[in-house]
Amino acid sequence: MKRFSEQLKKKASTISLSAAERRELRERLVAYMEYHPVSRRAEVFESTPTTAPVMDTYRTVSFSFRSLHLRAVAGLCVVCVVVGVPLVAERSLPGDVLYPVKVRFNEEVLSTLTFSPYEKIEWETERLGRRIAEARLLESEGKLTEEFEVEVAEAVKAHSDAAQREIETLRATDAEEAALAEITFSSVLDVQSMVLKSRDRGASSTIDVIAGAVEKERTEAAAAQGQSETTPSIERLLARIEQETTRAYELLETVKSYAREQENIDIERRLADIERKIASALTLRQEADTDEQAVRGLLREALQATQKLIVFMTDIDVRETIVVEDLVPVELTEAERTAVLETMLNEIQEQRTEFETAVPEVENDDVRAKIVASLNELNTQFAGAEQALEQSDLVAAEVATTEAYNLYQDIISMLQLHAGFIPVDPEFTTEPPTASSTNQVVVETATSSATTTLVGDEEASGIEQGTTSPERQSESGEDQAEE
Amino acid sequence: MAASGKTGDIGEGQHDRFLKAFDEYADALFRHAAMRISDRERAVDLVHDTFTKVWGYVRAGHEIESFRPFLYKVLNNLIIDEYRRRRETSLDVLMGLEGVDEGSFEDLHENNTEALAATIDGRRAFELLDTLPDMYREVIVLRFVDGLGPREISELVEESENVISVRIHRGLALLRKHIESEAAAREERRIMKQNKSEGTKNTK
Repeated sequence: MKRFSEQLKKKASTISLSAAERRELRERLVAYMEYHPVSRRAEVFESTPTTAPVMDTYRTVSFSFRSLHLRAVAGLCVVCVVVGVPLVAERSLPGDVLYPVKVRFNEEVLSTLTFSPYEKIEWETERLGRRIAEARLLESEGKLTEEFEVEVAEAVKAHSDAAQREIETLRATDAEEAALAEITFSSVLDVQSMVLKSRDRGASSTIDVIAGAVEKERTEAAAAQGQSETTPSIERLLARIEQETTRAYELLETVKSYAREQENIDIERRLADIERKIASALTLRQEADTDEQAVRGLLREALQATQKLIVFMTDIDVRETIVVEDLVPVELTEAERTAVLETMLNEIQEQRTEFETAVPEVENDDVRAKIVASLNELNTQFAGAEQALEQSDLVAAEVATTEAYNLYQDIISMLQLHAGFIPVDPEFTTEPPTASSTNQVVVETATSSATTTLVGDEEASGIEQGTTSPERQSESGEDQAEE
Repeated sequence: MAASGKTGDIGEGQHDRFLKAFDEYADALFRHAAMRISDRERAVDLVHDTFTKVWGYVRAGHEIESFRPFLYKVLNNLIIDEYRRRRETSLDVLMGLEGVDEGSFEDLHENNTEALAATIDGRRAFELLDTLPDMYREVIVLRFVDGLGPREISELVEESENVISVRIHRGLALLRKHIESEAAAREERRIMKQNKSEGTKNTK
């Protein structure tokens, strides 16, 4: 057996990581470890000695020296106060006795633990999010007084200013990193502002001052970002996107077990959209005479979308207040865009033949002339849209189709008014079909290249956010089969 | 393998120990993965995933006394997931084959396994390892390449030591059968080629 084992081992030893593979793997791992450091809580746990030795010492000493026993008890009390109070304070809200401990002690101590300017910016951003979350919690409990509201608005401004100051400090040493920090800060403010704006504006809503403060900070951050002369390099953007998407996928794995199936599908769809955007940016980069700013723009959008998704997955309040579609709208693939256009054109085509019989019934000459002119223009735009679709020029096709659809709606309205025209589809609405809200485009193959169909409102109610679900596809297929 | 206790070095200590484990075991783990899944790039990814998962465990505050078995355990689970994902082999069917059968005396006896291994050419075995179902490849690689004992393998695979011994024996038997059939086929081809060349000479 030894010989067999030796021979097998010898042959197997030919399989090994090359030096480059090994180096790359190690670098990836080190980057991962830096991005996911040992949590402070774990370190606190770890640095705490196990109970057994403490108790042993305590017992030995207590029986021998009473005074030391008392000192140990006093020491334990001090430890309880020093460790316990800040822990309890973490759950406090404005107005609680321990709230100042949370804000002025716990958070300040944690501030001193952040060393790099980027970490400081992240921490200030998180503190800003904490203040808003506290305000929302107080509001939901009906305890948000004007005094607290002003206090939170001031805190929002203070944290935002601190983050901006850190960005400026960082800009002096690493302008690209500062630009990346600006993007992150801006993404978080976007989400918070959107959450506050979308809250119920009923009589009980008292969060207006905070919403205004956040919106002001968001606008200022966006303006500062627009004025910034430095944009991160493509490599730096790609590296940050890699980190953020890794985190997003990890978070998705974590939330998968308790999130609703539809939420998971929605998030997966957005992540796929982001991957597609990155791929298109990389393709664009390969092209000769490429516009580097356009590539950076696409990557920046991808980074912001990923960061927003991360906030969506990590902040339960955000998830309960807004839907992912508001935060990161679905981006249709070419196949889906084509499907939407084809559906719109089919609808126009279906009604167009009916128009010819309805137009002579219009008694008013002026109106009839106007309808005929609109009909001619509709035919021109329709032909243009079809031609653009054939040439796969989606942008031109979308412009022409939208124009044609508007004319088509005008004609129907005029015919309904002046000739009692009834559209072929009794459920005719003036809203064009889209794939983002009420109507969903279902692409029936994984490659998004084959047959596409539109699912109506009833079916779409099961699909909230413009995503393609295999289950829905099969249901849709069954429905069609039954029909 | 992994202690639930919270004692141990903190921060830097964990960091250094973990990287030391990477330096020490990355190659062995990669070799194991590559031999199991026959896909070099994927094997690199699986080794990466193994280390990131184990790091996740470390950063959650758990102390790992010995990295080697823990890393192998995580990698093994990832390889099983990979097989499930590929659906090349129905794992359940393979598992079902083993079931409660703990093997005959011949299968179980270590001396018989040694005797069987002694009859196999390790170099040919390496080339034909791919032809074995993963269930057998797994234990043969763990036993003869990674050098794990039956007890360690049984803990890793979560089967009894008897089942592992039977699996190793059957794997080796199957491997020898494959080597023999391959040798017979090669011999047949050689004879056919020889006959053909002799026929050509006679015609001339």
